[in-house]
This record gives sequence, C-alpha cells and structure tokens, in this order.
Amino acid sequence: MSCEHAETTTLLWLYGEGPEDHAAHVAECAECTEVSALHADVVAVLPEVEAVPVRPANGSAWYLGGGLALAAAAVLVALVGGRPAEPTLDTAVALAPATTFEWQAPLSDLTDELDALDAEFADLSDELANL
Amino acid sequence: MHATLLDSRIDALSPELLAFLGRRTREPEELMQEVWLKVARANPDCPDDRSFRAYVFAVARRQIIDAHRRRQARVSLVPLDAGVREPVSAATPDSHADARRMLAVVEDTLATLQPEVVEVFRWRTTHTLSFKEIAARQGVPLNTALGRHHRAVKAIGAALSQAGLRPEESR
Ligand SMILES: [Zn+2]
Repeated sequence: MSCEHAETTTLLWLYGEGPEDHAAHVAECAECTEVSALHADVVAVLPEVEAVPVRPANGSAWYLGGGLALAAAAVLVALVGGRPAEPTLDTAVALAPATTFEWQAPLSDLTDELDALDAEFADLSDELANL
Repeated sequence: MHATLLDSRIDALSPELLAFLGRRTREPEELMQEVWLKVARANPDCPDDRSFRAYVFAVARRQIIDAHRRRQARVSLVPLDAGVREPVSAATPDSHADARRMLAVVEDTLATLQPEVVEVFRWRTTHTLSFKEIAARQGVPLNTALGRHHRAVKAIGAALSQAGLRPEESR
C-alpha cells in the first residue's frame, strides 16, 4: 500500500463517514480508485432490503422493509398481541418473494434491531389510534 | 467550472455512467441523478475531461455504497398500495440463479474469515453502525476495524472475480 488514505480516509469517505472533499483525492489516486471500485462492486452484490407484506390489524396491507424482515415480521405479529394480525408468520413467509434471501446478522444484534422496530411500531400504533 | 462546460461534460458522460450504474444497481437513473447533483454541488476543479471522468466515477462508487446503506438503514412500513417493492439484490444479475450464486460466494468467503473480521463486515453492511461505533463495540482502534472490513471485502471481491461474478471491472 503506497497511499496512506487507501485503507483509512478513503474507506471512511466511501461509507459516508469521511470528509466530502476527499472525492478529489480518490479521483486522482489510482490506489484509492481501486479500493473504491472493489468496495462498490462487493456492496453491489449484497442482498438488499427484503420486503415482506405484513397486514396490521386495521386491514391495510404494508410491506415491511428491513434486513431482518422475516424475523421482524414474526416479531410484529407478536407485538400486536391480543389483536388479530394477519397474515400470520406462515402466510408472511409464503407471501415473501420467492427469491428472498436470508441475510442474517449475528443474533446478538437482533435485540437492537427489534428494539428499534418495537419503538417504530409503537409510534405507528399511536398514529393509527389517532386517525 | 463554468456551467456550460459542466453541462457539456455531464451530457457526454451520462451514457457511460448510466451503463456503469446499470451493471451494479437496479435504479441506475435515480442514482445517476444523485451523482450529478453531488458533482454539480462540488463543482470540482477538473482541468480536463479525463480528470472530470475520474471524479464522477469516484462519486458514483460512493453513491452505490450509500444507496445500499440507506436501504439497509430503512426499516420502514411502506403502504402496499404504493406498489413499492424492494429489489432482492442491488446488483442486476442475469437470473435469480446468479444472485443466489453471488450470495453463496459471499457466505462461503465469510465462512473462511476470522469471526472478528466477519463481524465488522456484517455490522457495516447490514446495520447503521459507523466504523467508529463498530471499533468501540469491538474494543479496537478505528483503523483496526477499517482494516478488518477491508480484508473481508478484498476476500469477497477476489472470490467474486474468480467465480466470474464481479461486475465488469472495466468502467
Ligand atoms: Zn489515495
């Protein structure tokens, strides 16, 4: 590695954590250009947000987008508690696109993800209740 | 850069940029608009067409990663009626079989790497965690987290190339 930025500032810049004006360096630096090309190409083949239709209690259909969509769908079904939620997880899975891929994050992270989802769902419930 | 010069450079480069993005994302037009917006805002001081092109493609690569990151960060409820449906893969594989092969290559490669390397890669590509936060979680310096992520990406890139699945490396 000859450029000191190739595995530091350039990576931060690529992932939105570095200074915007670093683009000028990347454009002029062969090594940083190569690193950028590699990361962009790898990220481009990663599975994207999955979409699973989830039907809240009010009957309107939604797509739940998120990397952990299937797990999240299960939790959403659980979160609605006493209210009937349809489709059930089984049907949610059945309705999931045939090409949906599993992209499981470590289980330890699921808690954070689900906490965030829980909060979002609570907000949504409030919004629905105020309609 | 003079507005007319910028416009003419954008016009000249648009077909190539669109093709480049089309090999890597499913929303090339949208992404191209974002790239042009960024470039126009930055108004880079590029003495010739070649340096302008290099700048544009640098921004384009960053936007590809940014677009993936934004989608992953979005755990949203989208009305079904809006007809919104996320593509399964950011790439545009010729077939679902290709997409499955790509994912298999990624997973197989990750299986050969050290857990702490895989952890950084997964956290950064499927979560909203920054490298700084990942470094803090792992209790390592920022550069170590960056190095781990780069190692994973390098390994996956090599495996994809070997399998003939990396988007054309030429622009
Ligand atoms: Zn460099």
